[in-house]
Formats: sequence, structure tokens, C-alpha cells
Amino acid sequence: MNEEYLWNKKGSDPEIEILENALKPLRFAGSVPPRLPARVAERNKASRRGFFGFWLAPAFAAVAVAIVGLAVYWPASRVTNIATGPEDSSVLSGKTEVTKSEERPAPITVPPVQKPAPIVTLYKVPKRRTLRPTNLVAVKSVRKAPHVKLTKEEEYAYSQLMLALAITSSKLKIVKDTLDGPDARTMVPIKEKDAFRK
Amino acid sequence: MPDSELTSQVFAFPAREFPAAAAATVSIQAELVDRISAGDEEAFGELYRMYAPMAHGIVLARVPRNDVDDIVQEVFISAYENLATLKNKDAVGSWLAMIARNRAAEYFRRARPMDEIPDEIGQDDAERTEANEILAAIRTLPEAYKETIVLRLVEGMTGQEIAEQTGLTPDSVRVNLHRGMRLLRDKLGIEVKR
Repeated sequence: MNEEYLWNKKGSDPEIEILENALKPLRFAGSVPPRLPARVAERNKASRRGFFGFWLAPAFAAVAVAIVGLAVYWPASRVTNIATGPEDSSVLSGKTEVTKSEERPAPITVPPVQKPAPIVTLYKVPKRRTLRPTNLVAVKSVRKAPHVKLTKEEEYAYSQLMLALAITSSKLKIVKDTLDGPDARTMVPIKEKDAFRK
Repeated sequence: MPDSELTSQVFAFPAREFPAAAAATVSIQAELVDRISAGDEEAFGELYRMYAPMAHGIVLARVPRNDVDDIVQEVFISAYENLATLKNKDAVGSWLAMIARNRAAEYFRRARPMDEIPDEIGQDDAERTEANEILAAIRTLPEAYKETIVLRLVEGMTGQEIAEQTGLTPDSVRVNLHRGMRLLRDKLGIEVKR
């Protein structure tokens, strides 16, 4: 057997040549390349955007929604804190007096005055409060889009966006609590607690 | 004698020959993949013409001949669909070879239990009958040998071309060819004696 001929067809080897000639009918005849679906070409193009191309749009969307949420939530929380502060303190102080006079107080009494209607009359709400409903409407309109059929990539981006929003919201809550202190409405006075224990 | 000259004599490394032809092929492969990714169908046609014989040989070594052309087409469609998963563009040949092997294996997994129609049916040509007999003998060879032997004897590729296209090392191809041919000759000799 001629090794050189077997490797690069240089020289000759009758035995191998006979086999080659016999097997020629089975050789690839050269057919037309398969016709390709256009959809796949588009997908290949899209998949070449890479990591940043894939994450940049959802990240921008998440930041934008967080800013809108901050713009709506921050002024609203400040207004309610200003409004409820003095009122709640007076209510709570009145309540403690009542519990002192009774031997066995009710376990937990809900403060009678909760509606902020008179408070609004006491403290003039700044004009920006009137902007809130319009902002809220804008946020709601964003949420009203799920009937659109999403691709897998878009669904994934949507879920990531929702996750980012949830995280942002919790962080904002922490910041708000840190800045404003604990909410007076959710606190029970120490005296009342002691009375309840007795 | 200057130091530099002495050093060059002491460390007389043989000049490393850079395989220019192989490098050119590599760059062509990468360029083709880029063009196909950009949606160039003509580039896909070039890739098909370049590698279809190799895919044909790999599939022919395993699958009945009547289904080989369909599977070759499937190989290239599958490659096109999954082109984004190709990490090394220069290794598109070995990637296609792998797809061809997987498709051939898949053919037997999905094949329904039925009697295979012999390749000879409908062919009066004596040459074809002889070809089918030799092919049947090649298919009985071990996996590594039969693929290389088909690419060499049926598709007419040289050892170097087989190595470049399938991603095997030239030494492996050389060994596969040598041992495969020896086994094939024995098998054909045995068949003749019987």
C-alpha cells in the first residue's frame, strides 16, 4: 500500500485507485444549499447584540420607572407625615388618660379619629399635591399593557423589570423610614402597653 | 565570535514554518460565519459548497444512502439556526462535523422499526452495486476509521483536507487512514475468498 498516495494522492496505488473508482457513484453530487427561513436570519442578527445590548434597555426602563415612582411617592409621603403627626399625638395622649381611669382597659383600642379630612383644613396642602393623580394615572397606563403578546426575551426582560421595581420600592421604603422615623400611627404608647399587661 | 552569533548557533531552533494555507482557510471561515450571521445567504451557499462533501461523507459512513442527502440538508439548517452558539468561528468545520455525527445518531434514535429497503433496489447499474458492497464493508469498520476512509475514498479528500475540515489532527487522520485501509482490505479479501 502506497502511504503517500493514501495521504495526499501523490504517486499511485492501483488497489486504492480501484476502490476510489468503485466508490465514485456515491460521491456528493453537489446539491443546492437548503433554503433558509428569514425569521432565523433576523434572530441571528438580534442575538448578536450581546450582553449589554440585551440588558441596557430593561435597565434604562427600570431606572425610568423608579424615578417616576420616586417623584410620585416621595411628596405624597411627606404630606401625610406632616398632616398626621400632631393629630395622632393628641389622640394618643387623650387615649392614655381614658385608660388610666378604667381598671381593665380594652386590649387594643383603635384611635377614634383616623380620617384626615379635618387635618387637611388645618394644614394647607401645597399645590403639587394636585399633580399626584395625573402621575398615578400615567403609572397605571404603563401597567395596562400585558395583553400584548411578548416574546421569550421580552417576557424575561419584563420579569427582570418587575424584580428591579420591587427592590427599588423596598429600598425607598427603608430610606423613607430612616428619614421620617417610625410612623406614630403604628406605635403603641408605653403607658398603654403597661396597662394592658396588668 | 560575538555573543549574538554564538547564541544563535547554540540555540539553533529550526525555523517554524507557518501554515499559510491553513491560516488563510481559517480567516475565510471566520469571515464566512460573520457574513452568514449578518444574513448573507450567498455566504451560506459558500459554506455549504465548502463543507457539504465532508458532512455527506460523515453521514454516509453511518446512515442508509437514500436518507443521506436529507440529513446533510438538515445539518446545514441546524447549523444556521444555531450559529449564535458557535464560540470559535475558525472551528466551524469541526462544529459542522459534530452536528453531522449527532444528526446521524439521531436518525437511528427516531427511526421507526421497519425493514430497511436495500440500497441496491431499483439500481440495475453494476457499478452502484459494487459501490454499495464496498460501502457496506466500510460501515463495519470502527467508528473512527470508517468516517476517515469514506472521506478519503468516496469524497476524494486528501488527508490534509480531512484534518482541516473535521478538526482532527493530521496524525490522527494518518493513523485512521492507515489502519482503516488495512482492515478494509482484509474485509474485502475475506469477502472475495468466500
